[in-house]
Amino acid sequence: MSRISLWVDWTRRIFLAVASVSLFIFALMLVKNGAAPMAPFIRNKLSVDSPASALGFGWLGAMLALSGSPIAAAALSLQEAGVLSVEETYGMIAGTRLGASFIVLLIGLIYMRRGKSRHLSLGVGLLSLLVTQTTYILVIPLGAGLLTLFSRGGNNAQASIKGIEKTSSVINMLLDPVINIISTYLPEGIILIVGMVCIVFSLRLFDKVIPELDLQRTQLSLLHRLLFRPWVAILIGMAITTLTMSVSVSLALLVPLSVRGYIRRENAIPYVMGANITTFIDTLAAASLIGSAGGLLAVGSQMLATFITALLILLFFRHYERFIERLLELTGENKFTLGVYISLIFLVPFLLIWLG
Amino acid sequence: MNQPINPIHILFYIDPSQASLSAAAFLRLFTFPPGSHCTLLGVTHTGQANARLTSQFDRITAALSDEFILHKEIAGGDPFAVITRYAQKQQFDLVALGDPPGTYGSPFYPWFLHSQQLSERLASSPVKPLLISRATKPRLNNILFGSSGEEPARRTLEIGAKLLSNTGARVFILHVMSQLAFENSRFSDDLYYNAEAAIKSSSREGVHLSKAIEILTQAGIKSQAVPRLRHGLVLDEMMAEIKEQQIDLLVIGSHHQPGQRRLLSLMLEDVTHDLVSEVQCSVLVI
Repeated sequence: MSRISLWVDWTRRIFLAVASVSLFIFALMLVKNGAAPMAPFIRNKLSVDSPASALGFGWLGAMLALSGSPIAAAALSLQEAGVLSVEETYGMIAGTRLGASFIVLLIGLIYMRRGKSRHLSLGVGLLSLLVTQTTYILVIPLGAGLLTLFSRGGNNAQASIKGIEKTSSVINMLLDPVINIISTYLPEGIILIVGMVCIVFSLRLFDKVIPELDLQRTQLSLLHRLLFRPWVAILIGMAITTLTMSVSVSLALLVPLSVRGYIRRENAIPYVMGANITTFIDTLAAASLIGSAGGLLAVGSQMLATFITALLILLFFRHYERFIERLLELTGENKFTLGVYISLIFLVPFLLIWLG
Repeated sequence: MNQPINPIHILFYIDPSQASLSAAAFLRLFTFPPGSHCTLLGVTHTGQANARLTSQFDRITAALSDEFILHKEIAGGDPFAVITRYAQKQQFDLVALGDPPGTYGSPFYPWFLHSQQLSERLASSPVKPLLISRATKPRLNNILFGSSGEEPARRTLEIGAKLLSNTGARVFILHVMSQLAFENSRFSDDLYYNAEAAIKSSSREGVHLSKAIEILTQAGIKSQAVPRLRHGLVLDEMMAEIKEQQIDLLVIGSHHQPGQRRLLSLMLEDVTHDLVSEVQCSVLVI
């Protein structure tokens, strides 16, 4: 690429980055303003009034939105609007991870019905879902414990976020007049929906900012042929997802590295574990931008819990690998067990909302 | 290490245990070329032979004297350091030792609580080819070559075949395909193939298996090598194959291959060490 076209490309990316971040912040403020008056509806009618029900709500939301990031961002706005407590925000963000990869299952099912693949267990999508769901059995309680611990940090936690609050007060000063104008013309429900749509759009816009990574020339091209050490694959997953901020995009980046579009199971499992840690970078950034101390605590606890869980799993990695392999076989090869699994994916969040 | 032509020179580590006697009986099954040498190496704290080691030397000498021209060495210190020093000082075509039962197998407890046995330490060192005998009864009916499908596998096949060419054992060549498809649109029949189908369709794995059989044949393996292709986790599938085919000897490549960059060695899983730690059969690491 010539120097001029390189400059043009980077200028375009910077412009897109600024535009997407600005739109993202604006969208978060819209959701916050739209959600506040809807608190009784969300808490009473939708029964999102506890961490467990918020978990179910985030889970369902991510499945419907086919992505976890917009729902996680919305959770921050709801927390800032006073609709959700910090613990409920944590629950909702955790729920988005459980429902985020549902899209791959859906696509896999469509292919199975069309006869284009015999076994869903041979795809990375189902594996990614199972790895996330099994690690979260430990992540959720661990993160909740960390959140309690950090919340008791009290004044120290608050003091350390003062700088971020200054930034958010500047942002509020700039955006409040615009949002006030919108609020006079649109009902709160519509503002909430528009805000959600803007979040989704801004995240899509940000995807275009990510430079094309020439991974072919790196050792990553060996992921489909050779076995990497689990801790190496975790680090790779973390590093790539720091840039992409999405587990599915991180996995998609690896596709061109293999002519046949394959990856070894032993590499995919820790890669997804690593990706699950840094996939929250965008949510963390969002919490910083809107000056949400509670949001920062919730997301930070989640990331730390996911990281600690990955370290713990590394101690027994061979056993965990075998466990996932058995789950994969059980779930993906038999239409009946697959049906049971999909039913559970839908049933459990509803149960959490109803019973939570 | 020399590629063995004939005759060969073996360094055989001896301790007073039954494992060393079993290893000697196992070595006899290899039918090495006439005129081959075997250095019996015993290691003690003091560097002097004790009664147990002396009688072990006598027993093993009686077992191997008609197969090899024997030499005896006693050294003091850590067995791993001594073996490594000897292997570096002199060109041996094979280093052999016996592994006592109970020192290998798949533990539940985490890897960092597992103390490394001599065989595991040697498997991760440059001492190669390395024969780890775990044969409680001397038997060499079935040999399994494990192959990654990569270029270093060629060297493993060639050297392994030359060492085992006169055994008359049944030979299997196994490749484990643990790949998954990234996208459902990428599913291809090669994810389901057995060895015969892979060879017939000339898939990547099929071509590799065909070439491996050719290499084994050219290197001197007389029996027709049986290609095997399994799908699943590499370690588990290899262990399942060993159990299914009642394998007496597993032949695998070393983690550290000549010319391999250090960074790559650090990044890649040491499958050889994992297998040496877990399998119940004897292992030949090339």
